[in-house]
Amino acid sequence: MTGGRRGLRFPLLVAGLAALVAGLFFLSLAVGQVWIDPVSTLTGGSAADRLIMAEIRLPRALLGLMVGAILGLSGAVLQGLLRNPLAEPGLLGVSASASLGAVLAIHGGLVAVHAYALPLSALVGALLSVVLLQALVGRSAEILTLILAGVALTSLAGALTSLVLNLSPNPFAAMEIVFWMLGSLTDRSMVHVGLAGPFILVGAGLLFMTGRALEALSLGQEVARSLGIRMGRTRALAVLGTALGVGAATAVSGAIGFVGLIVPHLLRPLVGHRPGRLLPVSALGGAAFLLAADLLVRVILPGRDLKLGVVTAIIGAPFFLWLLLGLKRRAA
Amino acid sequence: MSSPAASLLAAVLLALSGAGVWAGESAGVAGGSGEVGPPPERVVSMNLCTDQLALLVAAPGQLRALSHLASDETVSVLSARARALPRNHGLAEEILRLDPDLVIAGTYTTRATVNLLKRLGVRVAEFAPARSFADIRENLTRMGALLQREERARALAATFDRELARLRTGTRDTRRPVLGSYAANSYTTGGGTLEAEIVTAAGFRHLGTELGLSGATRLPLESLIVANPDYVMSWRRWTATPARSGEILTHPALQKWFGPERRLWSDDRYWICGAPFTVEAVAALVAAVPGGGS
Repeated sequence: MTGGRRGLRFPLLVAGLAALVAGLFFLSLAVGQVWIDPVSTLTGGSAADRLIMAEIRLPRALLGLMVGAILGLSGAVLQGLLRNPLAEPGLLGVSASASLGAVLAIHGGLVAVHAYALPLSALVGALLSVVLLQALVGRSAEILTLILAGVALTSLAGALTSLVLNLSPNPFAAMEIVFWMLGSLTDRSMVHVGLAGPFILVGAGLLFMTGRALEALSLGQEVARSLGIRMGRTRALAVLGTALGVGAATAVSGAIGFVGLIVPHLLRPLVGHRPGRLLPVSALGGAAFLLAADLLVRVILPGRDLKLGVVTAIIGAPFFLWLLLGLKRRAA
Repeated sequence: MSSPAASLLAAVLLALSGAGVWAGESAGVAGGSGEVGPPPERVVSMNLCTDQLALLVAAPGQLRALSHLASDETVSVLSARARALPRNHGLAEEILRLDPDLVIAGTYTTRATVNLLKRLGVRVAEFAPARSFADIRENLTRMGALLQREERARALAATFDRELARLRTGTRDTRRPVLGSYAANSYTTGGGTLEAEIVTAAGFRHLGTELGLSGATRLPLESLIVANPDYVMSWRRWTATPARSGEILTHPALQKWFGPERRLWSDDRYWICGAPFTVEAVAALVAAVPGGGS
């Protein structure tokens, strides 16, 4: 009986989250320096409104949707794979390393050669960090080692990013440190959607392919192996998917933390702790969370370009601490 | 106190004792310009704007060193002339080794060095950045008095006023188009600034002033499009070196709304510092939009 109800609950949850994302996406188009009704610009409205809608707010909303989704999704996959509730691209140093890759591409002049050098270089940064993490931590899924390695990687990548920006001859470069460390979707364009979109989609596809393996893995490695799950393949899919998706997302939006941490945690009880079902709802939840955070940024301090990472951290950090307390209590 | 070693020792001693015994004395010197004595002969400047002002006013051989920015051709108008002089980086040690009898600095940069030099009894004159044409004249006059080159400063100020008057009579007076500046990271400039005065002198209305902004302010791209100035002016340098900050200047929305005929590109060097050459910034703007209505 409960199985039947749960079977019904999952599609309902997905539909509810999808509706929430759609609503927030619509609001994201409407809210800005001035309120513009997105529907009216389809049929008419002033030329300025149409331009603002098509070239400023639509790319911003699309990026919020895609970046939030990939962050939530990769958080869910990493938590399932490493069987570690604290795994998240931001905490593990993946985002910071992707930022470093992007900064190197811009200031090394690679972007001037070809535009796709930006997401590709960020992707390489992300990939290196995940591979390095795996090497550092090995197979042991010990929470402390993983988090400490992530802290070290984040600091190193952040310091190198600052170094590159400080050495730049451009006087405004140093001001970019804030963007790369806290992230923002302000005044992005369709060019950025085109740069990051394909990589995020492919990355998301790879991450979704891990769903069945994560389900099996939740029953233990031995059971997973007996069910015919190849761990090497699963790990490769997760690593590549995270690097592709988070790398490209970071290249255009900077490092945005905590999305991948909070969202899977909030939704896990709602899907009966099933890692496979957690993936689609985490993607939707991540998109909703980031779109909402980006709306808050615009409503709280319009015109001041409050960084997205500030909002996600203000919500995320207390949650993280609460999570740590919970872990400690369970261990005691 | 003539050897650098002695000066450094004094610095250490003073730092240890924590007493600014000489601070009052040097502050008095820095503020006043009425004292009579021999003209300073070993003058060191530590700020791009005072570098250029001093270069224009000083007698040959009077300057001993300028800031490293003075010889950087991307920010300095007088880089060719500045290259003949040694450079400093505004560090107390290198300034003391030059054994200057007058140090010229800006009021916003190298504060720690200026305070240390003052405590060591070095004569320091500080210049606030020029926010208007009147400030330019005032700074010129003060530089002339400090270097005891009043004659030269007066001549420079007279030329500046003459050029400005000539440009003003040539500018439009029927329809004054609105010009807004747009820099890296979506920054624009408000009213009461040197930029506003330059733009107004060139026969435009200044967007930042009309919007009631002050100082350097972020103007979101959406707001710029809604404000819809006749011209958007940017500085070339922000797009010359790669940086994410300059991306906003090539944003598709900006390019579509303001066609190439409504985009003006200015030479930063004439806008960074208020000096006699600021008149060139006005002249370039007048030349860029000749048919504006005059």
